[in-house]
Amino acid sequence: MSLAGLEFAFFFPVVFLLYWLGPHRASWQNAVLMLASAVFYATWDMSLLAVLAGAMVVSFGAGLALGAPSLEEGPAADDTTVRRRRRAILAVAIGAELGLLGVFKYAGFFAGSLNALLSAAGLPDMLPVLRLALPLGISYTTLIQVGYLLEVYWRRTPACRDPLAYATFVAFFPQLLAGPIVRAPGMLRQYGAARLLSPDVLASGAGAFLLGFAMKAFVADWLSPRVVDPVFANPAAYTAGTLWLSLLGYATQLFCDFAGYSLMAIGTGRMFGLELPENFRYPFLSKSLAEFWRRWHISLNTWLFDYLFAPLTTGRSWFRGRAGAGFLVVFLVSGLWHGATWTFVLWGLAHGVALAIHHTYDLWYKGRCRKDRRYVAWRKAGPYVLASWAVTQLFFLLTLIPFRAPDLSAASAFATGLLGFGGQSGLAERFGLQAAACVLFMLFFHLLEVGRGPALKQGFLALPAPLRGIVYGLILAFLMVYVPVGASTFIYAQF
Amino acid sequence: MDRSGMRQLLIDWLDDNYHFGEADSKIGSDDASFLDNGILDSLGFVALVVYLEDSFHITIDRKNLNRENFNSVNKILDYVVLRTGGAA
Amino acid sequence: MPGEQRHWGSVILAGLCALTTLAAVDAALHLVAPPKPLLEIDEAMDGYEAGDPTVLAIGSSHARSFIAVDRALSQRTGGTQHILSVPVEWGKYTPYAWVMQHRVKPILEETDASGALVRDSLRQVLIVTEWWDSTSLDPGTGSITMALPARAWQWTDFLADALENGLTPYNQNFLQRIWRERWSRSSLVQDRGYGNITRGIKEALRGKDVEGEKASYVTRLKGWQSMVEEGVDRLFDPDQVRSLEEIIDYFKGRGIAVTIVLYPRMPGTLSQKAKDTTLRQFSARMNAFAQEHLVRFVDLTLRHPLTDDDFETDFDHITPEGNRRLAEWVLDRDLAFLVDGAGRDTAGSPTAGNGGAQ
Repeated sequence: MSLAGLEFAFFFPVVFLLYWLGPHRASWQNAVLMLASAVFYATWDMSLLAVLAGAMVVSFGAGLALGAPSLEEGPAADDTTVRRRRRAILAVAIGAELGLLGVFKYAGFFAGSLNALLSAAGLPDMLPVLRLALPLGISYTTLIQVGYLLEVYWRRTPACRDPLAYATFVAFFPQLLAGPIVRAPGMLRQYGAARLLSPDVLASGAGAFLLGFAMKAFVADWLSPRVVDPVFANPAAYTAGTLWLSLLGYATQLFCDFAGYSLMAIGTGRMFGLELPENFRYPFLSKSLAEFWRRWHISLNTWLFDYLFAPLTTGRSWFRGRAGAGFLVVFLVSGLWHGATWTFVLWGLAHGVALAIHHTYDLWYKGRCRKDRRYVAWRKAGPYVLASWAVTQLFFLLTLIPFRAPDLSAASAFATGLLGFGGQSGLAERFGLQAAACVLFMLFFHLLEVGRGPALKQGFLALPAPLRGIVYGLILAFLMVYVPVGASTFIYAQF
Repeated sequence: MDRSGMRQLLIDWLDDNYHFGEADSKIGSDDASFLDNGILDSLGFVALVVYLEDSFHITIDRKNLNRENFNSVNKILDYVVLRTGGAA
Repeated sequence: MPGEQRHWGSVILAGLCALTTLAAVDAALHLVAPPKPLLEIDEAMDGYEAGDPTVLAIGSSHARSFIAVDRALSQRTGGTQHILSVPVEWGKYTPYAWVMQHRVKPILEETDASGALVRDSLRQVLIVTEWWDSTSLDPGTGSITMALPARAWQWTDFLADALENGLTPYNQNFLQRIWRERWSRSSLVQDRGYGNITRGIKEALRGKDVEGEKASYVTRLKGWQSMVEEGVDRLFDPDQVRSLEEIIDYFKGRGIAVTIVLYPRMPGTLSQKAKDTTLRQFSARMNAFAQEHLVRFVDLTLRHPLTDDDFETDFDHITPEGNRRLAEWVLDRDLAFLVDGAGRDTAGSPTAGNGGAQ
């Protein structure tokens, strides 16, 4: 099941009514959500439900052990043995979580790469290449749980003592497929208390869900099979112009798909009275790469920042104070997290290196600023801002090539094609208008956040309710006329 | 070093690295949130932690190292004062 | 959440206004793309349970032509004879057999406390077919089997499949159908995937695109003709034939007469090659099949009263007016035995048939 599928229109009302019409208690609400999440998960893969459950038992148990009174603060808290024991518990639990992810997600990749290396050296294959089914959402649930363990270990968050609340926190169905990656401090508190249904939250939840659905179903799902997939499947055949358009189309698709699904998850959460963390904040307005990653897939990047970058660069190791090296590590991890392929490694490497270079440049520029205040003014002036924006966005766009390409050779064919060494094919002409509408929609979406955009939004929300209702109704009708039909949907005969 | 000396070091650091002479006016109130008012981004926090640890020879406990606790001039100074043995 | 605090009143008011607007737009769209309620398996089976038909007409969407035949038959017989159409949209023999096993059989064999059949009037089954029904599933896609979840499944079938395979694009077609049925009077929901609304609005604004339609007619005609011509290589797929035999054996086993009816084809769309190859071969082989299985054979492929104007723009289906003419015509001739109120299986006398496809 997906939040964007028709099945959700059958599933959601049942869960919604059970949730709000049942006893007004956290335990009831969590039980309903947990049951719904299990059903949601089972529609993908019943057999792997056990893997997720096992991982949750380990982390919940480790959390309890880390937060046990004997190991918690008190006279003994700083005792060396206690510290050692806590560190051991943390290492075992995180090892188990990452080990699980490693086996399912990376075993095939590493064994395959090692074998390729051996065969290049004229040696026989050493490792059997495992190709296991990846348990749904395990990339997300692993990060959620590792984050929780670190929070408890650092004593920033008390250990969760309610298994039901913990399980719901990890596996709440809207966040299962594509995040956002929830964090213990913000979420566990919410699951600990009974939620209240407020008109405000319900309305904004429904609005976020519908906006997200429109982004995903009307923009992303339309672009993908028409403008993106065919071109990336055979980049050498297309003209440079087509490749550029396709790349722009892919940026739009990726954003609308991912931010759209995140918004649907956040909207669904709100309709259950839960506030999931923001995941995208107008990334295409970013004027530096660092800013871009604070606006794109926020929940992943803050996770990587807080639990990897910050400990690494403020710890006692060689990395202390070396932000550039920290970026490289973080983005290699991010690349591998996105997928176990060399194209993702290349993508992560590109971003790590670029961030490191930009950081060095930033330090140098700040040095100029200290000596000459005109540099400060230049940095704030229009041309500098525009150039920073353009370089940032262009770089992101180009790194989408390895991110999307099926392999490194397709990526290099795409890249050379962009420079005009490609083929002669173009896209079907009839795609032009709708593809442009998709890109314009995304631009408009971003422009509502700059200049007078926010005031315009506020003005609309201040209109009388009936007027707003009529506008919503017209938008819905428009969307229904163009609602896309799934590729395998049975459509036949009207006679 | 007393608290006002520490404060000056903090402001100087912000000026040297981020605001170039405008740190004080940008901060306004010593209780204003750094993140909410655009005083410091998350990368800046990490750099600040290293700077404080190195300058005052302290170790900032992970428990306190989160955005809510370490997010204004006063909160930062309170912590540094505490860790340096209440030198104020 | 931006904006000031809202109250239930304002949220509900906005919601109601949105729904009212949506309903108003929908009602206005009835002018350009009215929903067309079609008889589907569910409704047909409801009709079977409520009534006690004497004749079943099982087939693809073509079986819907027998709604008109039923009207004419009821008139002629004063209501003593009644045909129930069982249309399996886009079906072939395997889906027909599934519908027979899972939907028709339980109703047909239902007994009361004393063990007597609840409905015992059924005497005749018409298998309404054409050459395409006998061909193998579309190579590669297998999409034809989607007719089942999309038209014939019940919740139990859906849940069983979803439990076994998870939610798949295949079984999701069932949910699509339930959704469409729930909003059967809504143009917005019913138009999903057909584009009649946008076409209708475009036409209303710019007038009919006569040139474009002509060009599209020519392209579609070419495609249609070559599809029929190429069909000759795919006739009588063993799986499909087995299913057809399963249907015939079942009804004959219960003493119910079976008639194979080859459905009329649109004259202007058939090339000489198509007539000489696919259509002739299918007719001949089906005639032989009927004789072998001792069932009636009626071939209306080319022998019917209809002109090109009696067919819909898809070249495949007959217009309401055409169906009325066809009904009177067949009841005067090939299906006159229905008017006589045929008794139990007259097996052994596959009479009314004649090889009309020559």
